[in-house]
Amino acid sequence: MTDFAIDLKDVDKLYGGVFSRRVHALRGVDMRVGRGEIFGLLGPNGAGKSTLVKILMTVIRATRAMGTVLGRPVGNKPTLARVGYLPEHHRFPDYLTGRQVIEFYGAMSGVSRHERRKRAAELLDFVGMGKWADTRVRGYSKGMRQRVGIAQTLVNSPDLVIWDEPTDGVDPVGRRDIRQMTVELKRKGTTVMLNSHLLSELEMVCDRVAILVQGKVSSQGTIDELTVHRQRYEIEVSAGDSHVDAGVRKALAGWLPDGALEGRLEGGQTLKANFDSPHLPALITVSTADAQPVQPIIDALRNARLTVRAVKPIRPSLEDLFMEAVTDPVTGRTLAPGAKEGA
Amino acid sequence: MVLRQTLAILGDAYRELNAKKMFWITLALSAFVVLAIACVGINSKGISVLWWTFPVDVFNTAIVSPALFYKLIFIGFGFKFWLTWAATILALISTASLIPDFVAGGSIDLMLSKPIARLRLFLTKYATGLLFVGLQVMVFSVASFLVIGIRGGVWDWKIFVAVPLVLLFFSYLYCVCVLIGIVTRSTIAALLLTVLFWFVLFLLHSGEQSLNLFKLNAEEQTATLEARAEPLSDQIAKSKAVIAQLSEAPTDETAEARGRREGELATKNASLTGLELRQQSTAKDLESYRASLGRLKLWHDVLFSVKTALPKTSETMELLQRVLTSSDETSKLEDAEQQRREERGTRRRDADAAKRDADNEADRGGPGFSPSVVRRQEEINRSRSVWWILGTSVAFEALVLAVACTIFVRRDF
Repeated sequence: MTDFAIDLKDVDKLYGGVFSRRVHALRGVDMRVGRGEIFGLLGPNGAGKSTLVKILMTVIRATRAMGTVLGRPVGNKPTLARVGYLPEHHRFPDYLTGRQVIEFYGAMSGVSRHERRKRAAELLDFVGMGKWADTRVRGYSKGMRQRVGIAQTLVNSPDLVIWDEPTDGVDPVGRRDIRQMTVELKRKGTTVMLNSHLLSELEMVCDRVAILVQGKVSSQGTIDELTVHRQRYEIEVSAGDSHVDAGVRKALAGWLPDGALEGRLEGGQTLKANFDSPHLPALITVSTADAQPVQPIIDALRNARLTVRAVKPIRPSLEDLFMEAVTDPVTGRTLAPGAKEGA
Repeated sequence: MVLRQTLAILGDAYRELNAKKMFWITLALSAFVVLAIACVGINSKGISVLWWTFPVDVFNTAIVSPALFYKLIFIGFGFKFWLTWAATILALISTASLIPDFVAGGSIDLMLSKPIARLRLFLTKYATGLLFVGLQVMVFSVASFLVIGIRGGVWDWKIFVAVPLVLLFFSYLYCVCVLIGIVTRSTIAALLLTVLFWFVLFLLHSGEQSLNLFKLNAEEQTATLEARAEPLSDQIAKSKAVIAQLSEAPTDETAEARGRREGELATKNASLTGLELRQQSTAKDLESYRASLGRLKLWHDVLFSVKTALPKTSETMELLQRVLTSSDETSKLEDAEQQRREERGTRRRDADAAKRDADNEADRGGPGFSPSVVRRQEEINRSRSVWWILGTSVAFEALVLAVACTIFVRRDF
């Protein structure tokens, strides 16, 4: 059995044809989601996130797709009995009650009558909808529909759940509940794949993320892996009535020769000094996630009788990563939303 | 799992129908129609409605048995009017939205993400559309069966043939509705274009039937004229021979005899001229009928071919009459009606000779169509095979469904 719940290679999707505009929505996506982890799929509008998810759920047929879902080839229908899916903008038959919705989609996933009745009651309590179980969906608020939607993804006790914008239209209390449900599912060994724009939400729960930009995975990994080269320590230094820049240059002369503002440590880390004004605190940045290489610098500053006001480890946020991924490295502008046209 | 999913989809379809007010309205109207049929009766004097009796010449128990009477009411009113027109329109209104709603964004994603093949999902959903009509016609047939049994005194199980027939009839239209629903994803477009398709089928059927009537009439007229032309030729030949004989004057002819002969010759000549004029007129009419017969045959063949490729809604419904009533049963009624027409014609002939022809023409069942033509048309309709009616219609349905299935299976939602 493979270690990956989802293992995709070279997934390609080209929309349109002879009579309509050709849009290359996915351009060879390679992506892996480990078993039992919470995985976040990020990307700007039109990046191809929903297309990718729909290909996994056989709602859309890929132009080309290799790889597996729960160890079976992408598009294998029987595998879907072990998957729970909450589409974005889902629409349940409004003549059904919450309980009937769960039981109906349970039956469609092949769950026995006895089991789905039992599961429906449990899941409605799990998503906090027990009191509304027998009210028709047409009387539900957006948040209540979302909760029932989540419950129906779990009726078949899936090994993998894919939620597309699960917190869409949900209030902060509901979001917290959904976060807790996600963590609870992970604790039970279920793989959860989240597709969301709410980066802060994802950052709180995701083990790994992938950022999709214009139909390609621009980066994927754990948040630590993705930020390790961007982590740094910032040291704030002041010199009382003296000029701070002169003091810092003198203290760090071994690393910043000839008054340079940038140098390298023995381990190869970058050291940068930033002075706004001689009487304002200076900011010294060391490009490392490790506290050890920072110690000699602190010692040198203290030996030079400078005041170390703060030493802060800085880790970029998911939003920083996201913004970096959607920014053109050449022009520095944000990439236009949407997929690329043409083949 | 297959059975579980199928039952779930059928259960969901029932809940959906149950939630639609139209389902219950149609069912209530069905109950009303059955009650209306139950209120009508037949006795020795005529037709009764509740406590009142209306004397009718043809419809009384001396001519029509109560069983046949109720069967005819069931076929003519309950089946041909209610089930195949009014209830079908209501059913189309109710079911036209099933497929567009089913393939709407957010709804179809959930269904396609389940472990069920698209083809099976689509065909099961299609079958649920027929459930509406199936339930309606089943309830109606059971109620009618009871009414015919209780009021007519005959428990005829053949009445339940109406269930598959109405289902088939509805499915011819519903497959088109589904195809349009899949292509356009619009309920209004699906409904309106299906009704238009139905109207085209109706026009095609009416056109084919009318052309066939005209064709049969032309054939009959041609045969009549041909039969009339031959004796005319004989008469003309005979007249010419007589005139030739009369033209030759005997040698010993007296003046008196000559005068008589010449008078007779003039009469014969005049008669010959009349016969020749009639022959010319007959030949002209014959030529005209033969020409129009050729054109009518051509156009009828064209319409018949087109009709063969399309669903035959009217003929499918006529099948019930074939199953429920035999020719022997209806012939008594037809004979009585024919007798009534003749009696009425005689009375009117005495009363108003000028009006007689027009009345008789109207009584013959149409503008200029003799009863024999109408009867031949009915015989032809009855002789059309069940395979031709149902087989070709189901083949059309299968083709339309195949196209709809292909679109559904290949589409990205």
